[in-house]
Amino acid sequence: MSERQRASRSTKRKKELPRAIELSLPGDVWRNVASHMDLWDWVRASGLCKTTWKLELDSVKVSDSRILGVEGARWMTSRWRRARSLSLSLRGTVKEGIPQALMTAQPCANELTQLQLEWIPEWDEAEDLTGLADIDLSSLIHLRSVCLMGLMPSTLALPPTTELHVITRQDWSSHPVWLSVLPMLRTITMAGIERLNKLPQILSLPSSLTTVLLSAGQVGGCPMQGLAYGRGKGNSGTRRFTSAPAHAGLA
Amino acid sequence: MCSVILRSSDGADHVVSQEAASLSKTVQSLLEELEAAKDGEESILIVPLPNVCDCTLRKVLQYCIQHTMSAQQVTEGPTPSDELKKREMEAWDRDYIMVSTDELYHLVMAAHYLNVPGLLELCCEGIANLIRGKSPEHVRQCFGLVKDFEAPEEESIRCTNLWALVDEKEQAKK
Repeated sequence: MSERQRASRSTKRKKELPRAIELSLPGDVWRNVASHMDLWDWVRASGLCKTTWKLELDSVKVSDSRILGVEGARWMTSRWRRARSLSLSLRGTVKEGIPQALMTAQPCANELTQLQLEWIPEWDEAEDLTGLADIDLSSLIHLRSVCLMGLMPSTLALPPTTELHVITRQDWSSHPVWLSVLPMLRTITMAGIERLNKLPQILSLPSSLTTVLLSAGQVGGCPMQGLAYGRGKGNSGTRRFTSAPAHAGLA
Repeated sequence: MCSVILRSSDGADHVVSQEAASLSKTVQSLLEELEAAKDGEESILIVPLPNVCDCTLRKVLQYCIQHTMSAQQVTEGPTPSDELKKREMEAWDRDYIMVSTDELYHLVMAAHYLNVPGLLELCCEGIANLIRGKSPEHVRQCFGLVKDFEAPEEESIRCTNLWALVDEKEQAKK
């Protein structure tokens, strides 16, 4: 290759190469970029430069705890001090140490306003195997919304201004833990109901519930796809509750 | 709605509706200041933007105009096609952000300076999509970047991040 061709190729390459974005992007832009990525992807990218390495995250999203591990949990907690949103999906039997690392982390995620915890069992597991038996979030005073999906803690403590949204199984719906947080409960979704002959107890008590979604195979003797109750909210593919007990419980 | 002139760093003027210009919170506050200072005169307001070049400003305004038009259509009254319009806007955004890395860099810096939240979000998502799944070395290689770490520092980072550098499937098996 001639010198001229080489020089021309080099100039072309320089033109094609983008600016060194990581050296000049402000921290809050990087924080926004990180909020669009799963934690695992962000960890890999965090070694780009000093700004990305030291970045404290605004939003933390873990879509598979199996990848996280205890080291990952430590990594996460070391950068979540100013996080406002945390979404954690736990799969199967959670490795020992992860729940403890999360619950006892220092600094804790004091700024959290939104928290979503999800457990996806690998098999038809009858118990909650997340290891998050006692969830105490009462010190997170900024917390406004908590969504628990498929989790069955023994105890749950929340700040009084938090709105709780729960997706649970019918056989877990009568657990006392839900009764203990009734004033905060806004949405409940129950799936896997084979036959619904009477409303779960939780729906017959005074509460602040605004939306109830029941996914039932049969209601009384009537086969159904699903049921929904919502104040002014419809749900396509579901039927709206109109029976008196439902209203009594949901008022 | 009256028009305003946005003047780029290289002196190019862009006439745009005040509504579209106000998608930028920076421009909006500058307009308020100018409005207060103009003392009842009926002249068109000129907003100098010393940190945005003509080419990037043109691209930013394309976003602002499109989104203002779309918002007007929706606010004229909710219709069953609102969801369709939303999906059309999302598709428009996806096409809009298909730009070179260099252009994306200028765009994100402009969105940050001009404080256009929707555009900033879109650009950051674009950057996230570019770097997702790549190792730092790979990203540096693709983007022609220079490291700002000392060797020991880099080794310490590599050790700290080792858990995330292992293949995803292997981790899942464990």
